[in-house]
Amino acid sequence: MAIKSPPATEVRRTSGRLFLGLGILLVLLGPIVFVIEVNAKHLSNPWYAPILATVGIALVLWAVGRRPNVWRITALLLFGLLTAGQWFTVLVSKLPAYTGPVVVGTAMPTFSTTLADGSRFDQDSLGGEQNTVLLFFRGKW
Amino acid sequence: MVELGELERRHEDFAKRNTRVVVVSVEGQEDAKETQAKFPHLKVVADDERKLSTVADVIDLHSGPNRGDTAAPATLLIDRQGIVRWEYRPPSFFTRLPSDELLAAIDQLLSAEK
Repeated sequence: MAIKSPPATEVRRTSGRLFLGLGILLVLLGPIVFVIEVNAKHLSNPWYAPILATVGIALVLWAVGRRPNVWRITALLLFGLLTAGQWFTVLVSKLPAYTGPVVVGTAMPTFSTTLADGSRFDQDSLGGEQNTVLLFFRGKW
Repeated sequence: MVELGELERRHEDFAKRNTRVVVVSVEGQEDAKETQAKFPHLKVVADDERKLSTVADVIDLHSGPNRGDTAAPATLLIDRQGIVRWEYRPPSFFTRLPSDELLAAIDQLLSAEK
């Protein structure tokens, strides 16, 4: 009597292509959202970008583990660098704590500088007819 | 320059509140003139000698192009007597004060000064 063995179960191993694509998308998503925010005139610290990128790079790493090849390893290295760059940018953007002489409720300390037209601008220029918003910006670059 | 563009766009809102907007960077006269031409309703300060920026403690060392220094973003609200009434110093150089929040601060703190 012949014994029929059950058919061998085919173990399907996904190539991880979906995770690779999703991972790359997540690495790029943060910078894309940041550009959208800037265009919407909303500027805030984009903490979400390196966090999304880290999740993304973990997915890329997993995809490389499923099917290592030169393209996937190259993608891992490139997008890994991009993720590291996003962490670096966000972490170095932190400004030092304020320790200067300006105190709310007191007069502006003495200073003397110039306006774009070359005329003098000092602490006395701050008083007078109008209130003043004094805004410091990084420059035109 | 997004921030300056937004302040320029809202210049009438500041004028209604009897408030002028003075913007300061550590760039020189020529750069300041260019900025002034682009944003005619703002007053642009060329603080290349850093006298005002030092007083306000906003010098951010080696943060600009070619490792040059820049002014860290900060906003001070000063009344007609020259008294500092409010300040905003963001935790990172990415963060900027939205114009609506600045106008709200003016309404709250300087409404009696109009």
